[in-house]
Amino acid sequence: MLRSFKYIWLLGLIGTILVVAGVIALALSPLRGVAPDPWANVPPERTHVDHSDLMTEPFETGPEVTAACLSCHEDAAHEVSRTTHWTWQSEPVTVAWRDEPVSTGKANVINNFCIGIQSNEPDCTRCHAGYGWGAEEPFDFEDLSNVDCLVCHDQSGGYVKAEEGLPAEEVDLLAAAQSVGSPTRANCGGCHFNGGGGNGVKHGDLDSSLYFPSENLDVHMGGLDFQCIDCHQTQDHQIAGRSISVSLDDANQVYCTDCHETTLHSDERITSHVDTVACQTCHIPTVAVRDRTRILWDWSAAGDLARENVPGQYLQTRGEFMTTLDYQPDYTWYNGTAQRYLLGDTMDPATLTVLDPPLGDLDDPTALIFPFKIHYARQPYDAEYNILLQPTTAGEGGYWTTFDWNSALASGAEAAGIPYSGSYGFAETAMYWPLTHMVQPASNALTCADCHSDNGRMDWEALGYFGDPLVWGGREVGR
Amino acid sequence: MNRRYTSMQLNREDTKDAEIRNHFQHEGAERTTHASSLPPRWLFRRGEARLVRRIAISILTGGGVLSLMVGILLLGAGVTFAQTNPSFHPPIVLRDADGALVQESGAPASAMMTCGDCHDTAFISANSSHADGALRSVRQDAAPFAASSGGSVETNCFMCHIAQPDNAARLGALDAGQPEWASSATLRATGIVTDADGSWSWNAAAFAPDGTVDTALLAIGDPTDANCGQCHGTVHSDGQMPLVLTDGESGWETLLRGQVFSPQRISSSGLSLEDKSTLTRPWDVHAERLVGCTDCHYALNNPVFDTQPDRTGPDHLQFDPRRMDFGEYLHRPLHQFANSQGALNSDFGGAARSCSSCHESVAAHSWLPYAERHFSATTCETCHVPTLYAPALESVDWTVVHPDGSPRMTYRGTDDGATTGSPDGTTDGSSPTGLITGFTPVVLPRVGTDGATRLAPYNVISRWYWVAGDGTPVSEEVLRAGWLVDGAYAPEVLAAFDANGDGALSDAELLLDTPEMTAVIADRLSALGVADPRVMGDVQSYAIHHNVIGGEWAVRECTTCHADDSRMAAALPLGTGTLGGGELTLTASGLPLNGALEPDGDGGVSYRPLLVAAPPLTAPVDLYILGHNSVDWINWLGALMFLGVAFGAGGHGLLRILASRRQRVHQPHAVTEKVYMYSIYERAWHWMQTVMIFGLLFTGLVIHNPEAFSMFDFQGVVLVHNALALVLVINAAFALVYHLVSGEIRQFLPRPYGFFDQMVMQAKYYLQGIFRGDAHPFEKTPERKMNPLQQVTYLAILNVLLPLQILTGALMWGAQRLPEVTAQLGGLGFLAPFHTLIAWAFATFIVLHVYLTTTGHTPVANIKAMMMGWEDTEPKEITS
Repeated sequence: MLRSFKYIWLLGLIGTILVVAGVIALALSPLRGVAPDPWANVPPERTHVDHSDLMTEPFETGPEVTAACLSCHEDAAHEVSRTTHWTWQSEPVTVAWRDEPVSTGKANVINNFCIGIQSNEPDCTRCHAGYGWGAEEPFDFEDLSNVDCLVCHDQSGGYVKAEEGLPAEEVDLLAAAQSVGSPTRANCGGCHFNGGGGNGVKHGDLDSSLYFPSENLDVHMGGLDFQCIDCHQTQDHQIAGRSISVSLDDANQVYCTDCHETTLHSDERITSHVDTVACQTCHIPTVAVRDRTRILWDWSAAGDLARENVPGQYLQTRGEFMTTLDYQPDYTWYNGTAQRYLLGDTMDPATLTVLDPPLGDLDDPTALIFPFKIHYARQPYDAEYNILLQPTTAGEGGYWTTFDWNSALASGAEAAGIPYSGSYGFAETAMYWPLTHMVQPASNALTCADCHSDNGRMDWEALGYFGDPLVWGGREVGR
Repeated sequence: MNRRYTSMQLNREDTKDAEIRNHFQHEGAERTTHASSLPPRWLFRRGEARLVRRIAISILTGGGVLSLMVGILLLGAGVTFAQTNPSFHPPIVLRDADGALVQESGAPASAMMTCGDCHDTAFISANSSHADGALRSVRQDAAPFAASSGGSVETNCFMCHIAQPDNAARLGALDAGQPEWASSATLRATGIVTDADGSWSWNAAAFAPDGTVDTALLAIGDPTDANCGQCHGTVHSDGQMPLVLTDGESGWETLLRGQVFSPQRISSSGLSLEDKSTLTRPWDVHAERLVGCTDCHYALNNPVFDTQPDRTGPDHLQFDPRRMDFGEYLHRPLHQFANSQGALNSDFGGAARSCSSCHESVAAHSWLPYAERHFSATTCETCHVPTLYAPALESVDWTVVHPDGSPRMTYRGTDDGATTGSPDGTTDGSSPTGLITGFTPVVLPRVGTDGATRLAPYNVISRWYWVAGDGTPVSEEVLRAGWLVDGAYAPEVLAAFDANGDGALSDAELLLDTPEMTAVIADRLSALGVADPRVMGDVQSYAIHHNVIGGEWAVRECTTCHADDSRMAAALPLGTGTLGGGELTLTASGLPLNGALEPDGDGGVSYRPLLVAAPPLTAPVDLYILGHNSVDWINWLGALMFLGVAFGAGGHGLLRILASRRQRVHQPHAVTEKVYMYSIYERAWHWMQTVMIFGLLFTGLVIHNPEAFSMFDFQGVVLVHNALALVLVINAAFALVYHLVSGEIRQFLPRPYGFFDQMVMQAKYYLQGIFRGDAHPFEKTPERKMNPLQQVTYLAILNVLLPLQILTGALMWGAQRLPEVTAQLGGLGFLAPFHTLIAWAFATFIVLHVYLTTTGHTPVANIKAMMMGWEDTEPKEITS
C-alpha cells in the first residue's frame, strides 16, 4: 500500500524536481535560441600517417615517387586520371546553346590572360598534376606513372614544378615524399593563387594572402583556419567545385548552403533577399583585399621595345596591364553556369566579346545576383575570319622571344586547329570571374545603403529592374 | 559550330548585354563630358572605385576601334544614362528681385521671385521653421547671448533644394556684406554664377537660349540628408569614403549632442576611436536602412504622410480620400516639419513622428520582461542610443575668449577632452584632438508628444559667462573688447594669464583660476560700462534622438539599469571649468532638468539625475528600479528580525541540548504509537511549497541585489521568480480547496474556548517544560496536528502575509498590465519595499518553523512524518 511505501519520499522528491525544472525551463524558454550547426558538414580533421619511415629509397625522378606511392595506394593514380586536374578537359556536357555536347577545359579553351595552352604546353603545364606534358611526343594520358602525387600532397614546402610539370632540379624528392599529407592551402594555392602567371592575377578572390589569412580577409580560412578541402570536399580524388572559366556545368559545385542555412538571418528583411541575392554578394564586399588583382590586359601594346618594363604595368612581352586593390565586384544574374567562347567561334571585333558570359536573368528563378570580377583585354583575332586567335607565346618560336605576332599566331593556330588568314587585329574581350572566396566576417557584410541608395552598387536597370526594388518592388519568380 | 558569336548576340536580349553596352557607353560619355567644362552630375553617383576603373579603362583603351564604336553608339542610339534618381523638376529661369532674368539684369537672383513663378513663396516663407536659416548662422556653441543676425535676407530655397549648394560661398557673401547675393552665392558650385573678388557675375554659357538653366546643372528636388547636414550636423552618406569630422564643419547636432547621421559602420570611419574595430555598427540605423531626414521630419501637409489623425467622422469610414492633392501641396507646401518646434505641429495632431509612428515597440521586444512597463518609464532612445561616438560639448566657458572671439570649450567622449583649441585663432576649436572614447548620455525625464513623462537620453553642457549686476549677460562685443585689443590679447590680460610667458594663452592658461584673474577681466568690463560684472554659470540640456541603433547593439543587459551603479542615475561630468567666483545653477531652457550638481572630487562638477520628482519638473517621475533602489530601514528591519529569530532559535536549541544532558534520567515516554499523520497530498503540497518559497526567496534576493549574484542572468532570474510565484499561488489555491473540501481546514482554526490559555500553556511549555522533558501540552493527532501557537501563526501567515505577498507581487508584475491600479496602490516605490519586508518575514518564519519541527517526540520525528506520513506520537493517556 502507498501509505507504507518506504520510498514514497523519493517519488515526492522526483515529482517536485520535475515540476520545478519544468517551470524553470518554461520560464526561460523565450531566452533560448536554437541555431543549426554549420560544423555538421565540415569533415573532421584527420591525422595523416607519417610517411618518413615508409619513404626511404632515394628518388631521382617524379615518376619514381609516384611508383612508390602506388605501391600502397594502388587506385590513386587511376582515380586522379579521371579528374580534370589530370585531363584538363571535361567529359562532354550537353548545353542549351550548342547543338552537340561540348567538352571544355584548360586544354582547349582560351582566356583573355595568356590566352591558351596549345603550343605553349611546356610552360603552362607547370601546373599540371602530371609529368612530361609538353615534351616532344604527345602526352600519354593513359600512362599513369606520370601522375604527380607530390604537387598536392607535399608538405615539405620545397616541392616546385618546372617546365612540362617536372620537378625543379633543386627539389629534394625524398624529403617531399616523406612529408606527404592531406592537401593544404599551400598545395592548392601554388597553382590556384597564381593563375594567369602571377599572384592574384586571375581570380581576385584567390591570392597568396590566403596562405596566412587574417579573419578580416577570409572568415573561413583566416578565422577558422579552413583548408581548401574542408569545403572542396574530395571523394576518390574528385575535388568538389568548379568555375565558369573552364567548366560548363555546375555539377559537384560547392555552395555556402552546404553548411549554412539560408534562414539564419534573424532579420526577415535580410532573409527576404536570399531568393534573389547570392550569399557572396553581401558577404564578399571586396576582393583583392591585400594583394592586387589584374583587371585589364592589353596585348596590342606588347612588343614596344622602346618602352620600359614596369612590372604590373607594362611588359614588352605581354603588353599593358592594369591592376587594382580592394576590387569592388560587378554584379549580374547568374544561375551557376555560363556560356563559353570556344575556339573557332566567330565574333564581332567591333564589340566586346565576353568569353564566359554568366547565364541567368531577372526572369530565371534559379538565377541570383552574384558578384564577379571582370577582366578586360584586347587580344589578337583573325581580321578576315573574325575568330579569336591563340598565339604561341612561350618557347623558342613564341612571341615572347620573337616579338612577331604573325608567326606566333600562325604557329598557335596550327596547334589549336583553327584557321589563320595571316591578318590579325586586336579585339576587346571580357571574362567573368565568380567571386566566392574572401568571405569576410558578417560585421563587414554589405548593408542596405550599399545597394539601395543613390550611389549604391547595383545598376538596377541593367539588372532588369525598373529601379531600386526597395521602391519599385522585386521579382516574383519562383515563389 | 562556328556560330557568329558576339556580345550583341549572346543567347538572350538580357541585362548582361545591356550592362556591357552601358559599360562602354559610360566610357564614351565620360570622354565626351570631360571635354566639356560642365560634367553631368550622374557621373558622381556611381561608386568611386568603379568610376576610377572605368575612366582608367577608357583612357587606356581609348583609341582606334573603341572610340569609333563609342562614337557610333552615341550618335546612333542616343545616350540613355541610367540615372537612378532623376529630377522631375522642370528647368527654371532665375529671376532677380524685380522679376527680370538674371542673365539679362546681372542682378542677384531672388529665390522668392525665381521659385515664386510656381510656388507660393510668400506662404512658404511665412510658414517656415527655417526662416532664420537664411541668416549668418545659427548659434552653435550654446552661447548665452542671441545669435548676431547677418542682416535681413530672404528665404533661401536653394540651400535645401539643390544638389550642390555652396554654403561656404553663401556665408562668404554674408560676411562680405553682400546679403543680396546670398541666395545666388549658394549656386556657385554649379558654375552658373562666378565670384571674382566679391564681384558676382552670371555664366552666360549656363543658360539655354530660352533663358532656362539646364536641370543637369541645377537639379532641383527634395532635400537630401546632405542638405540638412550643412547646418544641422555631420551627415555622411558615402559608403566608401571614411567619415571624418572636419574642424568647424560638424554642425550643432554633432557639437551639442554628439550625433552623426551616416549609414557607414563606425569601424569604417576615419576617426581615432577606442576599440574601433569592434564598432561594426552603423552610426545610425535609420541612415543605414535608408530612412532619411525628411522621412521623419516631413512637411506637415505633405499628402504622402497624411496619417489622418482623429478627424471627426462616422465610425464606418476608415479612409477619407478627400485630401490635399499634390498640385495643391506643391503650390503651398508647409515648411513646418514634423518633430520640429513649429507652432503648427499641434494643428496636425499626431503628425509629429516618434519611434512608435513606425515601430510596434511591444511586438519588437518579446524577449523583454515587463516590456510595457519599461516603455512607460523610458523612451526608446534610452536603450537604443546607448553611446555616442562623436565628441560633444561638455562645457563652454564664455568668461574667456580666444583671439578669434570663440569661447574655451571642452568635450566629452574623448580621452583628454581637449580641443584643437585656437590659441592662435586659426581654428575654432570645434574638433577634439584626443582618442575618441564615446560617451553615454545622461538620462532625464522628458514629456513626450503623448503628454507622458519618460526618461530619455540627453547631453548636458555647463556654460559660464559674464553678467552685469542685474543679471543680463555681457554682450559678445563687450566681452571681446574686454579681452582683446585689435584681435590680440590686451597687455594687462596677457600679463595676468600668461603663466609661461610665451606671449600666447594656451587652453590651460585661459581660465579664470584665481580671484585676481577674475578681477582683471571684471575691471576691464567695468571700464567698458558693465555695471558690477560677475560670472554666472548654468547647465543646459540637449535631447538626443539620433544615432539610434538596432537591437543587436542596444542596451540589452538588465543590470545596466537594474544595479547599484544604474545608468539611470549615472552622473555626467560637466568639466573642470573655472568657477571664477561664479555659481552654477540648473536651468532648463524649456527642457526638463531633474538632478543635482555634485563635485567630482577633481575640481570639477558632475550632474547627477534624480529619479524622484523635483522642481522644475511638473510631471512627477518616481521610479523604483528593482536592483538599484532599496529602502534601507526595511533591509535593516528585515535583517534584524531574521537574525534575531535565528539567534533565538539557536539559543533555545542550545539550552535544550544542555537541559537534556542534565536530565538524562528523565527518559522520554517509552511507549509510542505510529500514527499516519500526513496524507500523501498534504506532504506533496507542503514540500512543493517549500521548494517554491526557497526558490522565491533566493531569486528575490538576486533581483534585490544583482551585483552580489552577477553569475546569474538577471532577466532569467526575474522570469523564474515569476514562474515560481505562479506555481506557489496555484499550489496554495489547490491546497485551500483540498482543506475546504476535506474539512481539514479545521486544523487551522483555533477553538475559541480557552484559546488564550492554551496559547499561554504552549508558550510556557516552550519556555520551561521543554527543558524539563515535559510532555507536549497538546497531543498531536491526525485530527489535530497543530498546537494553539501554530494555529495562530499560520492564521497570520496564511491570512495576512501570504495574501499580502501575493498581492504586492502581483501588483508589481501588474505594473505592466494595470499600471493605474499599481499606481493607485502606491506604485513600485511602495509595493517593492513592502514585498521585500514580507519576504524577510517569510525567511524569518522559515527559520522558526524549521527549528520548531525539532521539538517533536524526537528532533526529527516531525520532519520524518512530513516526509513519510507516519509519526511516532506519545500515547494518548499521557495527555492532560
